[in-house]
Amino acid sequence: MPGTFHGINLASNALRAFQYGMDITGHNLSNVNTRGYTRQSIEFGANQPTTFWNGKQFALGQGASISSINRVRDQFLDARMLGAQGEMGRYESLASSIQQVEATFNEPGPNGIGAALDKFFNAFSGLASNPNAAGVRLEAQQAGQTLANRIRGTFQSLQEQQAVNKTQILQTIQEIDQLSNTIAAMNEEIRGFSASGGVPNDLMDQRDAAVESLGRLVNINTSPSSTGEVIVHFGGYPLVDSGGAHAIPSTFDETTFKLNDGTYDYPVRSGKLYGLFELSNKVTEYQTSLNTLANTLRTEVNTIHRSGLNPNGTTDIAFFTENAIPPQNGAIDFDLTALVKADVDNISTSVTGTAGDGGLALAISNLKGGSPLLGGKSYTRWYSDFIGGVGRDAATVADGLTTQSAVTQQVDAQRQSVVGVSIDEEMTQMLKFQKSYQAAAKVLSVFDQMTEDLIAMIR
Amino acid sequence: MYRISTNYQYGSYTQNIANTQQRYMQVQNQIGSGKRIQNPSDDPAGVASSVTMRSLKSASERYQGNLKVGEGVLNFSEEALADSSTLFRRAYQLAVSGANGALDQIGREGIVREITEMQKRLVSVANSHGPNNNYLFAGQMVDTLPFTQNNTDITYNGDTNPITVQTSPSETMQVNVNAGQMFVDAYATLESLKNNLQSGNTGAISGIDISALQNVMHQLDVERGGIGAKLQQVQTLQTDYQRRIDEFSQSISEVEDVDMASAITEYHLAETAYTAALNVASQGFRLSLMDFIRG
Repeated sequence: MPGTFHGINLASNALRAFQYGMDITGHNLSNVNTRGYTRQSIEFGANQPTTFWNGKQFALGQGASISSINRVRDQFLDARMLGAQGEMGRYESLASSIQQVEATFNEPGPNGIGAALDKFFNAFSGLASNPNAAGVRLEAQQAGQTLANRIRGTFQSLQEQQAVNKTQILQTIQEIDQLSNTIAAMNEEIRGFSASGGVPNDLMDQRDAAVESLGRLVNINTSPSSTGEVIVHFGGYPLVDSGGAHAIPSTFDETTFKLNDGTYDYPVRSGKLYGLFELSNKVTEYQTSLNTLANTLRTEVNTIHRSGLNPNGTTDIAFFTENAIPPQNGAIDFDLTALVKADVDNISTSVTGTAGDGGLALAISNLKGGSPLLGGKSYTRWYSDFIGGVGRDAATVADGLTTQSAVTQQVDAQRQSVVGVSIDEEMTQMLKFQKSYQAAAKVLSVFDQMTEDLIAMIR
Repeated sequence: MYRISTNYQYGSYTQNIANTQQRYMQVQNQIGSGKRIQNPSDDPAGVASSVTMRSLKSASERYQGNLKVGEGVLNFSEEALADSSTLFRRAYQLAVSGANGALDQIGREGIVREITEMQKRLVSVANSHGPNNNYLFAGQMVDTLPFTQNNTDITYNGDTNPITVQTSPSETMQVNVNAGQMFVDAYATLESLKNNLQSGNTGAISGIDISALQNVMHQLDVERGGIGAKLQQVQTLQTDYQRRIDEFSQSISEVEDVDMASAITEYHLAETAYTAALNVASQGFRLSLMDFIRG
C-alpha cells in the first residue's frame, strides 16, 4: 500500500520537472542571438513505479522527472558545414584581395598599360613621319616615360600586395595555432565534466564553434573521442588530439600549397590559407607577365635604338634601362635611360643620320606588330589576352564566392532548421510548461486538501 | 518543410535586403558612371576586345596625324612648285620676245637683268621651308641648305632619299618631291637663256632655250600632278580613318558603356525587388506568437 504522502511527492516531482522545462525554455530564449548556440531539449521520463499488494500486485506510477537535456544537433550537417566553411574562407580571402589586384591595372580606359603601349608605338610612328620636330620627340619621350612608369608602378603595386599576402599567411598560421589551443583547452574541460557524468552542452557549442572557425582557415577533419573530446587533423597532421594542441608547421611553400614540418609535407586544400596561397600564385603570375613585357620591350626597342643615330650624332644609346649583361631585371627597374630622360635629341630616329630620316623610328613603331618573345603575338594582342585573363581570374573568384555563399547559406539554413532557436516554438513550450506546472500545482493542492481532510477526520 | 528558427528568419530578411540592395546600388553605379565595365572582371572578354579596339582606334588617330603632317609637306611643296611654274611661264614669255630679231641689244640686256633676278628667286623658292621648318627639297637632309648659287650654276647639297609618313601598319607614303636635279637643270636653262640673250644669239634662243623652258614647265606640271594625286589620296585616307575612328568609338562604347534603356529598366526591377524585400521583412518582423498570448 503506497504511503499517504505518495500523491504529494508525485506532484512535487512533476512541479520540479516542469520548473526545469521552463528553465530550459528560458535558456533557449536567452540564447536566441548567441552564435553557435544549439537549442536544448528536455526529455521527461516516467519515474519507476512503486508496487503494492492488494489482493494482487499493482504498480503505481510515481510521476515524472527529467531524463536528459540534449543538444539538438545533426552530425552530417556539421560535417557539411565544415567543408562549406573551408571553401567560404578560401573565396572570401581571395575575393577581397583579387579585386584590389585587378584594380591596380586601371583597365579598361586611358590610364592603363594598354593605352600606354599604344601611345608609345604611335609616338614612334609620329616620329617616323616627322623625325626632327622637337614637339614630336618630346611626345615620344613622354610616351616612353609613361609606359615605363605604368609597367613599373603596376609591378610595385603587385609587390606591395604580395607583401601583404605574406603577412596574412603568417597571421593565419598564428590564428590556426590559437584556435587549436582554444579547442584543446575546451576539450580538457569537457573531458572533466564528462568524467563526472554530466553533459556540458554549452561548452560543446563553444568548442564546435571554434572548430568551425578553424575549418574556415584551413582544411581539417574531425572525429569525436569516447570522452566527448574532438580530435582535429589537418591533412594528416594532428592539430588537436587527446594530448592537447600541436602547433601547425609554419614552413610553407605557397607555390605547391604545402606546409612542411621538416619531415613531411602537409597539403593545404581549402580555407583562408589556401585562398592566400592561390592569390600569392596569381600575383606572382601577373608579375612574371609584367617582367616578360618589360624585358621584351627592353630587348627589342633597345636593339633597334642602339643601332641608330640621333640628332646629336651619337649612336649605341639604349632607350630603356638595361643590364649590360643579361638577364634583365624585369619590370622592377624598368625606366628610360638617363640620357634619353635628359635630352630628347638622344632618341635615335634615323639609320643614316640625316635629319629627315625616320627609318629607325618606323622600325621601332613596327615592333608593335609582334614579337617571338611574346609568343608571336602583337603587343596589343598579348596585353589584351593578359588583361582578359586577369579579369577572368577575378570573375571566377567572384562567381565562386557567390556560389559558395549560396551553398553555405543553404547548409546553414538546414542546420539552423535543426539547431536554431525559434521564439514562437519556445513560446509554445513556455505555455505548455506553464499549464503543466499549473496542473501539477492543482494536483498538489488537491492532495493537500485530501491530507487535510484526513487529519480533520481524526480531530 | 523546415523548422524555421528565429535567427534564420531574421538572418534571411537581412540577407535578402542586403542582396537586393547590392544589386540596386550596382545598377545605380552603372547608370551614374555610364560605364558597364568598371573592372576587368565585370566582363573579361569585353575588356580584352575593348583594349584591342582602343589600340586600333589610337593607331588610326596616329595615322591620321601622320597624314596631316604629310599633307602639310605636300601643300607647301605644291605652293613652291606653283611659284616655280609662274616664274618659268614668265621666262618663257621673255624668251619668246628675246628671240624676236626686232628687239635690240638694249632691250635684250633688260631681259637679262630680269632673268638674273628670276634665278635668285628660283633659288629662294627651291630653298623654301616646309611646315615643320624643314627644307622641302633637300631629300632627307632637311636641315642642310639644299641649293647654293655659284657664278654660272647652282649646286644641290641634299640627297635623293624620300621623306615618308606612315599611313598604315605596313605602308608609308613619300610626301616630298625629289627635285634636286630638276632645279639644277631649270637653273641651267635660265643661265643658257641669259648667255644667249647677252650674246644676241637669237637662233639658239628659239632653237634650244624655248624648248628647254617648255621641258622645265612640263616637268613642273608632272610633279604638281603627282602632288595633286597624293593630296587626293591623303584626303581619301583621312576620311577613311575618320570613319574607322568613329566606328571604333561606337564599338568601344557598346562594350564599355551602359545601355541606358536596359539599365533603367533593370534599375526599376532592382528597385522593386529591394522595396519588396524591405516590405516582406517589415511584415515579418511584426509577426510573433507573443502578440497573441495574454498575461
